Amino acid sequence: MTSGCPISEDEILNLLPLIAMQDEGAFRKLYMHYYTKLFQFSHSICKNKQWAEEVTEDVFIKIWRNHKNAPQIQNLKVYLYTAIKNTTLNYIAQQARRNITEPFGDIDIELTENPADSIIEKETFKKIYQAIETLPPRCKIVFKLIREDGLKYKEVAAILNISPKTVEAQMALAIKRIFLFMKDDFLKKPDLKLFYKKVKSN
Amino acid sequence: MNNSSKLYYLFSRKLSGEASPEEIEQLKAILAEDAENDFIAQSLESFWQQPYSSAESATEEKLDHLLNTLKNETGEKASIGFWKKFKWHISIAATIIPIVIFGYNLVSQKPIKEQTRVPALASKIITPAGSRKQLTLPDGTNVWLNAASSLIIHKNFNEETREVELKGEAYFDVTHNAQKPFIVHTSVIDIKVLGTKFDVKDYETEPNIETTLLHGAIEVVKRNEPGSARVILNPNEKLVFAKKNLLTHNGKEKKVLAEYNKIKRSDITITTLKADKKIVDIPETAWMYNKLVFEEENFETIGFLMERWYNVTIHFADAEIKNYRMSGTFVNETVNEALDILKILVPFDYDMNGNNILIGKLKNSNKYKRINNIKSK
Repeated sequence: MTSGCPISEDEILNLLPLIAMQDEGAFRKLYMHYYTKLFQFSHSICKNKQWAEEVTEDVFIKIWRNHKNAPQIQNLKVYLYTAIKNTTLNYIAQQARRNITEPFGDIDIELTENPADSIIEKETFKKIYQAIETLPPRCKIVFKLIREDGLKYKEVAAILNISPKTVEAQMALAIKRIFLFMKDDFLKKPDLKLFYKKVKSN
Repeated sequence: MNNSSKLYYLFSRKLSGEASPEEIEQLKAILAEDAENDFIAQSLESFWQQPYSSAESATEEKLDHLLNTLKNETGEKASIGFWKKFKWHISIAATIIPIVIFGYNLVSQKPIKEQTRVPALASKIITPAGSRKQLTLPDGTNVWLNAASSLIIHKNFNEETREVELKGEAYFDVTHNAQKPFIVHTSVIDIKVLGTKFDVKDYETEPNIETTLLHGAIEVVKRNEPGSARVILNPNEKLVFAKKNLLTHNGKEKKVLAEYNKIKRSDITITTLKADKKIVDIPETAWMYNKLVFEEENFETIGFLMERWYNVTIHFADAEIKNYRMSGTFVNETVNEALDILKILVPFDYDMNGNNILIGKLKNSNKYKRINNIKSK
């Protein structure tokens, strides 16, 4: 991956005044830092690689085009994710020639898969994925944004336009579903648990 | 709030990085009460921390392109028609950017190195079970030969045509030459190509012939039947040809009969490969990278794979076990390690005597006791 060395949140915030002065290096840093995550967020909503690429490019183009307003962006992360969400939904609506009013109500969310090291992890992770797959769309997008994008409850709430309490409740629901799913699976495969314990204790 | 809802609430806060130190202590106490919950929490935590793979990543090229487009804009900013032009440029940017390069994986990952240059004369290259080879044919075509396979190169190869005969499995990266078609003969079908990348599998012991196309185009014809069904394959498609009508069962050995004319069109199925998967992870090509990969295969098929991979003979003492379905990837594991890992996924036991492995039901089955233990908690 070419994302380079990670830069801190503070450093990211310092990029905005530079971007206002059309500093190319600052724009580069911003792009390399966020492109993949934003692309994936868009892709998980529209599940079309080409659309997701166009949407992500569009959002970056908008920032460059409105460079003068860049320092006014309060929470950059929330701003970018919200822009991606809105642009993607508009895109889908345009493509589908219909309005989508309730975001994530009828959209199937897709998650990024994990590369697992051992075959045991692969099997366990597969179960976890199966459990996540059964989550309702809104619950799934909350889970994805927190895990894959490392967002805080408050940020997710702002992006999805729901209350932080709802985010909290959705996360707890996701965890509950995964626990119950795994417990059910253990009844079928007792050896898996024993093996995992052995590995952990080594 | 009862204990389990408290657990879910606290654990979700911990994963999300929202939990206070007191909450983490509370969670610890709850988890200590139940080994099963603790195990699930640990698994979920390692799942959570695992970096996830992304099909798409930011590239410098895309960025350069975008910046060039944008910088041209700024230069013309003073002119009146700027906004109109800008819009035009954006649509150009949007249409050019989505072009993604295919096939870069072969370059970025390193497949098997052990190379053999093949002489221009007719020759036969054999790989025993347990080993794989890469060779370069006189026309520059690269071939990766999987275990327990053989490739015969015809005498007049590279004169008018380029013809080879394959038993077993090989991956071909054919040098383009429209004048000299490249033809792979298998036991029943022929595959004709100009220049392309594809995998062919035709083991005597297996009921199907498979060919998977990664790049370019190939044409599949049934031999000795000119004018019969010919199939053109598109990239990322896999053709499976069932030899089953031609097979006779002789114990475990299955041999192809020379009655080709009975083949029906329905013996061919074409499937599309999962998008976004890397060449090193799909079972049809992972072997080139010394990885044994199987996806949702039954144990009998995995047994065939392992026989060739590890140079062993596997017998099943129990028919039910043959039907267990599993997925997995092995890289450096020995055959014992591999079997021990599979044992954790599904219940079975095995005995090994030299190169012979006998797979049967779990002997001292205490698994039911364990289930009861868990239930009683």
